[in-house]
Amino acid sequence: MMPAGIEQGTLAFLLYVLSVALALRLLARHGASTVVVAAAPAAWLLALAALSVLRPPIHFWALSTTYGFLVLVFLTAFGAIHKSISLRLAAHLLGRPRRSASRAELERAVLDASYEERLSLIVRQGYVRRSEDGFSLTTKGERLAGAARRAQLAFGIVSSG
Amino acid sequence: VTASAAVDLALAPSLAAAMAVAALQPAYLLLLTRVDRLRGRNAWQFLLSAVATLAIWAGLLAAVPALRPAGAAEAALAAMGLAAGVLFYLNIWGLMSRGYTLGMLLTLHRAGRPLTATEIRHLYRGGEALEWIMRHRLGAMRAAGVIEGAADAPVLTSVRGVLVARLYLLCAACLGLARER
Repeated sequence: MMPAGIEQGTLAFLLYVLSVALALRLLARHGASTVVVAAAPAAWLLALAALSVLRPPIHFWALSTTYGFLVLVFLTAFGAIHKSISLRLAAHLLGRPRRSASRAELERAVLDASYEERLSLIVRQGYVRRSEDGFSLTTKGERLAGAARRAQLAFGIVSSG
Repeated sequence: VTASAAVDLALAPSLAAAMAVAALQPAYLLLLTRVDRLRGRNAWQFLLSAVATLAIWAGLLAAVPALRPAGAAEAALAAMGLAAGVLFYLNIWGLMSRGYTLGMLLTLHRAGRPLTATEIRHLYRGGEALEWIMRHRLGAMRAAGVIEGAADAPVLTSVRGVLVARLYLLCAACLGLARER
């Protein structure tokens, strides 16, 4: 039989998956990444509250460790699926005659489309503003980019992409 | 320590040790980024830091019997605590070293002036341009056996490539991401 704390963590994770499945359909305009990350602490708190009433006692550390581990496995897989250019290229090729396409077509259909979507997302999320001169970072964007660059320099990361 | 009947806050020493070792992974990573032979090899740096995390945890358990898990459930929890830490840092490391959208913000940050959409494309990754992503991803897909054929007209491989693409489409549909880019 599964130990109580691990079982509670697994139940909390199932609540998270259900919340995410619902939220992705209702709140897509906020960006899928924001939705899945924001749902993690929300579902954890909700599970703590619900289980303390329905199945006490809560084994706090066992529940939280199991939940944290399962959520991180989910987020890692989700990130790979949601953001992956490689997988989108593969899906595009699958829909083409003889499962082949020119590099120019792939750039247009996958890279350009993805680029425009991401540019639009960082504008919507308030990291970048659009003006007559073009795109520039907002204060929030400057803060994030500055912190990321400092972390990259500290860890010797040349560039991201 | 049990705070009340409703919440058991007792923390097993084995789990506390696993979480402490995992929390220090950035320190192991920082040391590994100073190794000349690993410079610029971000995936290797992370992999070795994860191996170091595991080795330090194993060493700690061998040296301090009081930190060993008492039973299978405690061992499973300690392993999950350790793995959760590694996955947490993996997501952050992946974002910092391969983040596409973050790369766009950093391009604007480096420029220090407004850029048009075309300029962001051209200045991406310190001037390697956005097409770098296409070269990099197609190269990785070829190495993984997902595509084959000429460089300017890649073909999805009939077994591995088709399987990967179909699984991706299935997962995207289940998650409601089918219409997202």
